[in-house]
Amino acid sequence: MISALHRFFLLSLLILTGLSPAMALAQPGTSQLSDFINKGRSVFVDSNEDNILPPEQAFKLSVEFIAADTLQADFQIAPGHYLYKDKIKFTIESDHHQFGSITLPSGDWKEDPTFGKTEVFHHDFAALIKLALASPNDDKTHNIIKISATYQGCSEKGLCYPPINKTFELDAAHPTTSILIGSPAEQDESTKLLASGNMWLIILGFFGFGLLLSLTPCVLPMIPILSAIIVGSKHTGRLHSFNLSLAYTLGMALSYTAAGVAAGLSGQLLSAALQNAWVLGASALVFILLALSMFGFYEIRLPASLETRMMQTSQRFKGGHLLGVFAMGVLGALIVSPCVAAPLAGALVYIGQTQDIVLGGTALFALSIGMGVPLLLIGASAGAILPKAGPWMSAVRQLFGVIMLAVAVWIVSPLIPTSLQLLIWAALLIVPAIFMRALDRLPDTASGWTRFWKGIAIIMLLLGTTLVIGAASGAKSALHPLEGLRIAPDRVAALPFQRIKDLAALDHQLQQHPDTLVMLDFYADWCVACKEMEQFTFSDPKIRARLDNIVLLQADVTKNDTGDQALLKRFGLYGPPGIIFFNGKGEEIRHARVIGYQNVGQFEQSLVKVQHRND
Amino acid sequence: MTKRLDKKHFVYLALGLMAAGILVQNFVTKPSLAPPVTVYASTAPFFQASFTDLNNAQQSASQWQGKILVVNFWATWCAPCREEMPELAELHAQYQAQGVEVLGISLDNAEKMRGFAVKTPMNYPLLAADSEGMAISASLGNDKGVVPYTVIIGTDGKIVKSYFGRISKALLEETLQPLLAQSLPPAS
Repeated sequence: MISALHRFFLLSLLILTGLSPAMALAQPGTSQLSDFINKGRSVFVDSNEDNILPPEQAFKLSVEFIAADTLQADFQIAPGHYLYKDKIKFTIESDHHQFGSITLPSGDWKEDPTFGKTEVFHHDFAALIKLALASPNDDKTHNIIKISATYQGCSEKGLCYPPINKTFELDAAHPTTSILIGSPAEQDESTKLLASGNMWLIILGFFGFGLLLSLTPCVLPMIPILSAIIVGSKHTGRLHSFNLSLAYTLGMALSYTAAGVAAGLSGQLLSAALQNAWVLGASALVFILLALSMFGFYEIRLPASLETRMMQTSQRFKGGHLLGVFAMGVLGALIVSPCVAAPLAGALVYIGQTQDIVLGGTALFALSIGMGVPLLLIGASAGAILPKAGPWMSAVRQLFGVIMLAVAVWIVSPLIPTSLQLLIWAALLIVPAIFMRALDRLPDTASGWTRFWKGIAIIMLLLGTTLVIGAASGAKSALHPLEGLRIAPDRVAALPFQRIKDLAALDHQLQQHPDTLVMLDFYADWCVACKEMEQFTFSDPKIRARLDNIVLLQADVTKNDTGDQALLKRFGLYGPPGIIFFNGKGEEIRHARVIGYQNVGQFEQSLVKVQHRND
Repeated sequence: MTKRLDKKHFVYLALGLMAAGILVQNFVTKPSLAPPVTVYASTAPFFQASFTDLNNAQQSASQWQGKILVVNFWATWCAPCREEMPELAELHAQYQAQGVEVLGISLDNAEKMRGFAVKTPMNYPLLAADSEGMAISASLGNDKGVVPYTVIIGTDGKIVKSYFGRISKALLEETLQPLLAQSLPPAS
C-alpha cells in the first residue's frame, strides 16, 4: 500500500517537473552575479508581463518534401494557442503542379460560444500534401513549386490573430530545402544561452552541490559497497582501486545524466502551463516540502520493494571487474538514498523549468561527478581515507534544507513585497545561526572548529539583523538593507539623466542636441548590474568629469511595456543594462556600446574610446 | 506507527499539490481579461482614415475627434471579439450622453460585416476597414497584430489606455470614469 502511494508521489513530482514555463531570453553580458541571478529568475518568471506572442512566434510553419510527390507542412503551435482547422488553406502558384489531396490530422473539438463546435489544433501537427504532376518536365524552371499557406488562430487568453499568409518556394528536383519567402529564420535562443559563459557557473554549482551531497549521512551505505569493490579486487594497487572507483562514479554519472536529459525533455514536452503566480507558488511549495524532508520530518525514497530488488541485482555483479563495477554504479544511483532524493528532485524540477536537454544532461553529470569525488579519493588512497561519520553529516543535511527554503523564497520573491522578503531572508539567516549556537556560551575548552562555526553564526546573525532593520526602514533590496537609513548628504547626487519613455522621445532628444555626444542608459529597478553601475561607477568623480559634456538620457524599462520594448528592440537589446552612444548626427556610434557592468577603470576607457571615435 | 502517519500526511500533501496543478491549468486556459497598457502612438493616421458603414457610406474618423472614443478593432472570424461586443453595446448606451463614443472597426470587408450585423445588430457604429484595418490598429499601437484590440482616446486626441485582448464593460469603466470626472465642468 505504502509503496503504491510512494509511486503516486513520484508521479506527481514528475508532473510538477513538467509544469514548466517557457525559457525566457538570456540577457547577454551583464555583470556576472546579476546575470546569473536574473537568468535563474527568468527561468521562473517571464520578463514579458502580458505574454502576448507576436503571430510569427505563436504559429510557425515549415514545408518540405518528404517524397517526390509529397510535401509535409509542419505547424508548430505555441502553448495556449490554437489554429482553426477549417481556416487552413494551401494554394499552389505554378501551372505545372497541382494538388492531389491534402490530409490534415483530426484536431480537438472546441466549444466556441459564437461558432458552436469547431475543430481546432492546440498542438504541433503535420499536414500532408500530395502533388499531382500535371506535366512531368525536365525543364529546371518547372521544378520550382511555389506554395502559399493561409491559416488563422487565436490564443486561449481571448485574443485572435488575423489570417497569416506565408509563401514557400520548393525545388522538386532537390527535395530537401525549402526557402521561406519574406521572413527571416529565427534564432534558437537556447543555443545562445549555452554559448554564454554562465553555463559554466551552473555546471560548477551542480558540481559543488554533488560534492556536498556526498557528505550527507547517506554516504554511509555507499561505504560498504565501495569497500566491497576494493576488497573484491584481487590486485590491490592504488591505480587499480582508483580505476574501480572511477568506473563506479562514471556508472552513477550515466544514470544521473539520463535523469537530467529526461527532466529537460519532459519540461520541453509539457510546457503547456504558463508562468503565473500559481505555478510559481506550486514550485516554491515543492521546494518547501523537499526542505522539510531534509530536516527529518519525513523521508522521500523509492518504494522499498523496488529498492531491495535493485540492491540485489547490483550485488549479483562481481566486484573487481571494471565493467561489473560500472554496472553497479548505474544501479547504485537508482537506489536513491533518502537524503539524495529530495535535493535531486529539486535539481530535476529546476532542469525541467529550463527545458534544456543539454543543460540538464551536463548539470546532472557534473552533480554525479561531484558526488563521486569522495569515492575517488577513497579509491585513490585504496581505502585509507574514509570519512568519519558524525553529527556534522546531519548538519550538512540540514544545510540542504535551508538552501532549499532559500530557493523557495527566491522563486516567489517577485510575488511578495520587499519588506516581507527581507524578513524571510532574515529568518533564514537568524534561525540557523541560533541552531549553530550563536547565542550560546562556549565552554572554555571549546575546540577551534566550534569557535570558527560560532563566528560564522554570529556573522549570519548580524546579517539577519540588518535585514530586519532594512525591512523596517523600507529598504528596496536585500542587497542594500540599510539604504533607508542613509543620511542624505552621504549620498552623491544622481547623474542628471533625462528620462525618455519611447522612441519618439528619444528621436526628439537626439534632434534637440545636435553636435553633442549623447549617452542613452537602459535602466530597470530589478537590474542589479544597473544599480551597481549607478552606485559604484557613475558616482566616481573621474567619470562625472568625463560625462560633463555628454547629454545623458535614461530609459527606465522597469515596466517593460510596449514603449520600453520598442526601445529595446530598436537596439537589439533583451533588457538592461545597456549603454548606447550617439554622435552629433543622432547616429549610434558603432562598436561603442557598453553592455553589462563596468567598473570605474573600464567605463573610463569606454568613454575615452567613444570620444576618440567621435572625433 | 507515527512514521507511517507522517508518510500518509505527506502523500495527502502531494495529492493536494497535484489538484492545485490541475486547477492552475484550468485557470490558465480560461480567457482572461486584458490588462490596460499604455502605448505610445499617434492618433493622426486614425483620424485621417475613413471607413465604410453599414449603409455603404464613407464615414471619416475625424467627425468623432474631440469626444472620448472607445475604438474596438474586431473581426467576424474572431470569437473573443464577438463575445465582448454586447458589453461594448451596454457601455455605449450608458455613456453616450456623457460624450463617449464606441466605434467598432472591423477587419472584414463591408459585405461580411453587414452579414454579421443583420444577425447581431449593435447600437454603436460598426465600420468596415477591410484590409487597411490591421495597419490602422498598428498605427494606434497594436504592435502585436491581434484582435480584439481596444483603444481609449481622450478628448485631446491622445491615447489614454489600450487593451490587447478580451475586455469587459467594468474594465473599460475603470479608465473611462476618471476621464469623465476630469472633463466635467467643476460643480459651482
